[in-house]
Amino acid sequence: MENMRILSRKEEMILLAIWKLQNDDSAYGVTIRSYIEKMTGIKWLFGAIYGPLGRLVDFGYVESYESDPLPERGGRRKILYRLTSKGKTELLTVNKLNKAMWQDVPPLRGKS
Amino acid sequence: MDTQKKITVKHRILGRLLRSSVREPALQDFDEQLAQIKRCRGPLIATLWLCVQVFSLIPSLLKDSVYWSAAMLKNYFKIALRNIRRHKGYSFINIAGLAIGMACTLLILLWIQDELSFDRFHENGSNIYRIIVEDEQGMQSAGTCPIPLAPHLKQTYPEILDSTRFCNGFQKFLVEFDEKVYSEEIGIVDPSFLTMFTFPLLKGDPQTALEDPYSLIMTEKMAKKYFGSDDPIGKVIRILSSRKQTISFTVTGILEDIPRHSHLQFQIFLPFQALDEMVWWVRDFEKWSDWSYFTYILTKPGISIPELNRKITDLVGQNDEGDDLTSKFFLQQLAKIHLYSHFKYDLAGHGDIRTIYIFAIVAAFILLIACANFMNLSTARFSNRSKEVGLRKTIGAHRAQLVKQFLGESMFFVLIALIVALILIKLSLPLFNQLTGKPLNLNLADLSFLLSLVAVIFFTGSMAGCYPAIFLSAFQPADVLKGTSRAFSKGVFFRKFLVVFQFSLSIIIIICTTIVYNQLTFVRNKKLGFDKDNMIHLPLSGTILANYDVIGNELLSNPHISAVAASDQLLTQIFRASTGAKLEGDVVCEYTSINFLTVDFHFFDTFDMKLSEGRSFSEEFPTDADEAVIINQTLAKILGEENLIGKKLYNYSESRTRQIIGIVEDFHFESLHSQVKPLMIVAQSSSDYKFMYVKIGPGAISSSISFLKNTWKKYSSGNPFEYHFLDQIIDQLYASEKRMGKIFLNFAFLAIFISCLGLFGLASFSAEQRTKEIGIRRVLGASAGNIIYALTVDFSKWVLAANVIAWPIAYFTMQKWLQNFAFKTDMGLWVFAMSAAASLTIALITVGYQSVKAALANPADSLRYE
Repeated sequence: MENMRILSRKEEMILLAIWKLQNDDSAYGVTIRSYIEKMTGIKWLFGAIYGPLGRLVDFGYVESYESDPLPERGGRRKILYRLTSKGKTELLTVNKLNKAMWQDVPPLRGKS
Repeated sequence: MDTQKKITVKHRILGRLLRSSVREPALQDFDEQLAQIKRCRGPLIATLWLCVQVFSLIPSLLKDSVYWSAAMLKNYFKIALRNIRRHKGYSFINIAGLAIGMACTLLILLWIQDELSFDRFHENGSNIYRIIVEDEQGMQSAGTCPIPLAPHLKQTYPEILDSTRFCNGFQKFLVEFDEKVYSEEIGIVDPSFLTMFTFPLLKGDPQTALEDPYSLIMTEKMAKKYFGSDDPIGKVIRILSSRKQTISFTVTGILEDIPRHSHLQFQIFLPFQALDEMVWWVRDFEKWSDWSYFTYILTKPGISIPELNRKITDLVGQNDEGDDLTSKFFLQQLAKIHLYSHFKYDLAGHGDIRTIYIFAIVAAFILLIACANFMNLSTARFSNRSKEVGLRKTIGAHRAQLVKQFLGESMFFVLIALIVALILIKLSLPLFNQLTGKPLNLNLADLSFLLSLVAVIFFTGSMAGCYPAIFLSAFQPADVLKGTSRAFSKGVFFRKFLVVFQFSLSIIIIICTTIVYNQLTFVRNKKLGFDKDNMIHLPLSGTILANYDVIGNELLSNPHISAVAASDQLLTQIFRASTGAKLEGDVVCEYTSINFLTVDFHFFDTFDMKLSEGRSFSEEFPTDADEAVIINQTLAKILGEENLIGKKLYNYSESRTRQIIGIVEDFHFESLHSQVKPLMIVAQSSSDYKFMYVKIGPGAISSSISFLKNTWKKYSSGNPFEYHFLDQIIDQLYASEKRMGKIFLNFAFLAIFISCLGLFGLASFSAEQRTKEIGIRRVLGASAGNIIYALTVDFSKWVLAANVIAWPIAYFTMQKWLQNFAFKTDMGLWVFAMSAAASLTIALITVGYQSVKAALANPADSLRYE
């Protein structure tokens, strides 16, 4: 685990959103944004996705592929995203890390 | 589709901002989201959303690029500072020259801005015009119009909303309240004056303040002068009219002080109805031949000026009793009055647009000289940095980056120079104000001034930086680093060109200044045709006038007072004129403006004027007082007949005839800008005299004046004692040239100084470059003299070349300027020879110091290292 690069919160959220959406072949900018908005209630700027998303593509956690030609894009293909195996491992690691961090902490009180 | 277009623009922005791996999908997604919003919530919201999205992206992405360029900037900065520190001398010369140049330019800009800002404060300013008159020859001759014109215009033409007349009586009036008596300039205006112009009243109602014929308004300053802290409203003030009657006026309003930027500088205003009581020549308000009134009109916006010009001319033509009206009327915009009035009959104190142009050119010259200087030294200095360029290029700098670096560096220099310049301006402003007679100050918060500062920085910075930037960034790194490129020699020609250029400009300024001074000296020494030295003149009015003969005799009893005379107008300010004259028996009247002066019998003797024919007025001929006229040679020439003495001359304006008894040699009663105008001189009863002239002996000026004062006091019944020397008044005719000459002289010095700074820097630089060469020459047996010769002859050549370029330019410019004067000096070859000698001497001294230093250095020191 040495020199591991911990994903940022944004990256993690985007990864999770893609993981969730890629089954229906519908993980792309618009859906990712609306999914995150639905889950967290935070309205991201439209462009705000592409910074972290671009980084994830560059790291090789996410890859893009093309859909079938779609009428809504005027018969053009849509570029969709899915996790690579490296991305999945990364997500798991983060999850594990989160769990490890949460273990043995004194109970928190407050509104949940 | 409009939105489609907008989207493509935004695409381009997004495309630039996003990283390449996601750019394409992002753009597609973006379109989809946009379409969706448009579908659900309408195109307006969609467009709004689009804008919000795009613009909120920018800051975060900018941060990135700023961060990286900041890192580079820091390096550029460091290098720039290191260079300044390494070449302290050059940097100082460089910055000092530029700072002085910029300070000069900015000072001149301040002055120009001030001149251009006259009469801009009136709310209706853009629709207010003054009516001016152009005579037959197309000369704009007057700002004054017939007396009934203003009300008639308003009644006749609906596009003229309002009109007002303005008359100052062509004199000062004695204004009296309690014990306080001052002589004041008074404006006599229609009541609409207050509503047309933006001269707000602090007290009183602008609609009614000038309704009553015996009402008066004055400025706050004036009210303080007369009433102190008392409430001025309702106070009664007495004014001595030019009919010698004392009239009481009641103060009905207090004006805010008149802004400095107004061409109307009056402190006291009277209603126009009071005019016939105040001014001696007005009897009839409907007399179309009385042209003494400045007329202002307020028009509807967007009217056609040429059409209105024609309409006004028509209206005067219909009413003028004369058979043929040769004058044409024109509208002059309010804001143009200050700079575009060169009329014979006009209010004093106007500026001149030509002066503005001349100053703008001088400012540009000085800035160009400073820039040339800066470029020169920069290229010299930068050429030492070819290695740096090579290294940067090798490491991976683009050419564009290098250009930016050098431009930025020169802008940085300019910025430092600008700060120094601002300090210089702050320090020299009192001096400059003294020179120009304006209370200017440096207002940094003024937007237009700030903008001009930015413009100056960019102009100077890019002018000075562009050559090194383009020239240096083009180096091939391999050549430079191998040392095969001869960087310095490449810039030599360019630098010489700059030296020639800046010296040419300096020489032009030197020549112009010399010629301006020559002309002024010429004007001062020119024989005017009458004796102006030790001549005192005093205004005559009231009890002084009544006792004029007694006073005259009493004054003559003093041995130092040699003559006393009187006239109705000041000898140098003759404004009365007849519109025509003819010899009795002639059919055709000479319609030309003939000046008209009334004098007493001693006038010609007092001024020592020579008569070329006939005799002067004499007490032996009592009829002289009413029926004789003396004309000047110019008028005699116009009348065109021999043997004029004894002929009868018909004066068109007065409709009466007089006998010519003498012809006086032409004397200059106007400034030497113009030829001598035709003049009629008559001797009339003393009630018309306005001025008394007293000729005093040269040795006893102060005692004579105190004698004069005592005599005056005896008869004046409280009128203040005011006297002037005639030669000072004549000097004032050339005040603007004199002031210009002074300003020019100062700037000429500065221009030369800046050029020399540059030359000095360049000379020391080239001496430094050639240290080894000089060392070797010395070792091989060259004498110090040889070396000094080798180093200086080069520069002298270029300075001489600059002279050759400058001469024709200066010659033609000054020839044009001298055309303003009807009487002018020759330019003379010596002016040009002198400028050559002066520039060469200055250049040699500047270069010589460095050359001597280099030549006398021990060659062992310069050669030791290799």
